Amino acid sequence: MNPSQPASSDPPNRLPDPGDSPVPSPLDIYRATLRGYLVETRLRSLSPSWLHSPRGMSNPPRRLISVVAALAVRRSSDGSGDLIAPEPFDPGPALVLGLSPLDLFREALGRASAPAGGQNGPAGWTDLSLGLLGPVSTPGAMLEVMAGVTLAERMKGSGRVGLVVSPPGASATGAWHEGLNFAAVRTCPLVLLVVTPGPSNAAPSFQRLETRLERQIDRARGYGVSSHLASISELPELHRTLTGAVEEARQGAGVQLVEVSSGDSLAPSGSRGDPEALPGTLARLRHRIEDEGLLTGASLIGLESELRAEVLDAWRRASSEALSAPPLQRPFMHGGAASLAGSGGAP
Amino acid sequence: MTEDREDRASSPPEQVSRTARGEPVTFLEAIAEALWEEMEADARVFLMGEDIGVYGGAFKVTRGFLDRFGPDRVVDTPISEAGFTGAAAGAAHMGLRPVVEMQFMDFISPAYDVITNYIASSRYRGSGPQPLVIRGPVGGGNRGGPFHSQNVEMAFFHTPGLKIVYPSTPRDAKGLLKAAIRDDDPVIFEEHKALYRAPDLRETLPREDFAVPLGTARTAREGRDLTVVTYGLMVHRTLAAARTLEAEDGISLEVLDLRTLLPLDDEAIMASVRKTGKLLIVHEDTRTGGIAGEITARVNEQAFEWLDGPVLRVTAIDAPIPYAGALEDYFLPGEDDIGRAARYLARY
Repeated sequence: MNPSQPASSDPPNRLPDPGDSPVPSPLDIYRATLRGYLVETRLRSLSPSWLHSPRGMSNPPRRLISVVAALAVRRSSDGSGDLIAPEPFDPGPALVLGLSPLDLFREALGRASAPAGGQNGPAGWTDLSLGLLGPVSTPGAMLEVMAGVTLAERMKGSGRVGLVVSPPGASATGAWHEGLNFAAVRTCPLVLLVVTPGPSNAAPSFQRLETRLERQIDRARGYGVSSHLASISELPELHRTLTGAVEEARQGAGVQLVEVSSGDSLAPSGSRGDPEALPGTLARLRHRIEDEGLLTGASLIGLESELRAEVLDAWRRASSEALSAPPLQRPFMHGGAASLAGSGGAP
Repeated sequence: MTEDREDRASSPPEQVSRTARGEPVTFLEAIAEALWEEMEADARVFLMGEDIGVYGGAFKVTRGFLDRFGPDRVVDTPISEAGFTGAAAGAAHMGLRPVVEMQFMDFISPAYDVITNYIASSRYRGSGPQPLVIRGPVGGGNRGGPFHSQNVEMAFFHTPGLKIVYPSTPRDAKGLLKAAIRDDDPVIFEEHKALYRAPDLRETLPREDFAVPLGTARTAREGRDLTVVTYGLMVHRTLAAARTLEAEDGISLEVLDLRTLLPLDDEAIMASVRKTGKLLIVHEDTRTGGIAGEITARVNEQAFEWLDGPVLRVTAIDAPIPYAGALEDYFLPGEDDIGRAARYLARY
């Protein structure tokens, strides 16, 4: 039996001290989450598939948690840091890892300078130098892929850890199970982050369609992996939990299943009818920053103006750039029959 | 125990040693040699699959590999085709070159999602190349029934981003598998079980390293009256039919072995059709949505003016593969079927 495997009634694991990993302040988290929110709001205008929700940010608490997760891994720009597979359509972790709003807008708008030539959704491509593994829309696939990423890194002895943000509903899929089981039996250095409750078109957790379990970490014993529970309500503790899980995985303890309770994720975002209004999660975090005296109201307004200007400037710049050329010729639409290979006349 | 292990490790297993001794190899031994040599030459190449390590694989292709290369490079997996194929994709991202074995290619279907939605589209999506090979046994005739006899090419043929290889000779099996492993794109590599240990197919291969380029067909037989485009086991069945037709009817078949199904070697197909003016397509896979339909469309687009008759096809019938021997023989295309179609076309 895996010594770190919890009994069903055990409390979640105690975590090692995160060491010298700096704990981000609420201001750091606010800045990163707001930046992602502003980018996502722009992107949302391009496609109805960008967000499931008709209001503002698709799910502010999930976005905040994914930003904290990105802040909890070792980051680098030279391919030596940890790796993250975010949820589809979540630009927050990609921005924390080092992508720019301009990159994301270029991709979404299909500009020639786009990182993937406009052939993929924003933040859907892979940038291994930054540690970004671009997600696909099949909910469990990235767990399978990250299992292989971390298996390879363990073979190489790199010490890199992979973190997967489990999309809503993913744990109901076979891919999720196979990926988790494979990573578990191969003791891969992988952290699986599950945010609950999770809204989803197909498997909203309030209907218990994704799982009958009260807590996702109750799965840990079944897979023989370690588990950790955290809440969005205590951001330093959330960061500490995620950092600790990442370090446990790095130290060879295998897969770490982290469940984070998002508390009010099913509540209305609060931005209805006012595009300038912040979602409730961000608004509460903003109040906390003010209450704790981390930044004055005036300074916060200055910070927000700065971020809005950055995003707007990137949007305008990407919009003004040339479109990407179509990669393929289409017979009978570009040159007609003559474009077909090998015609060359009758015998 | 340790000494035994080292002794075994110091001498390559029998199935990868014949070419070095100048002996002819079977189709299966050619595949084993390709894997062994590529693993020796490139530390990034590793194997994943069910029972490939301790057990040596269901068909013993990888017997002895674990002793030589160790458990990090010969990775036994749970029964989870989706899981370990997805993991291969992740390893490929990180610079490794995984070769995934499907114990039977029929069971590639659970991995269809990750192959088509992730692996095949990775380069296009800006997520980089996927240098991996998914290989395994296919085909009927072994009384394996509906779940151990399928040909899977057309389940993937429609997916941009994949390459599909289906060799018919030991030389091509070895050379094409080496090329597939060295390729930066994902390759599905089909190996017909009936070819694995067929004694008549043994051939002596070059001792020096060689690869057969992907995407090029091979003229297996020169002819003048009509072209037969085929691949895999059907190459040999067609060649047998060609010998009979030549002897009994004076009909001369040109046989084109596709070797790579995706990308198709249009140039070779059109050149042969222009030469003979008639085309018969033979494949073991079922009829509807088979590769014959795509080849017919391409010939219609690119060489219609050269045709002196309809394009015909000989295929398996549209049904699951039966278990009972008599039914399976009826289901699969045979030499007589090819002969009948060729005679009809030659007279047209």
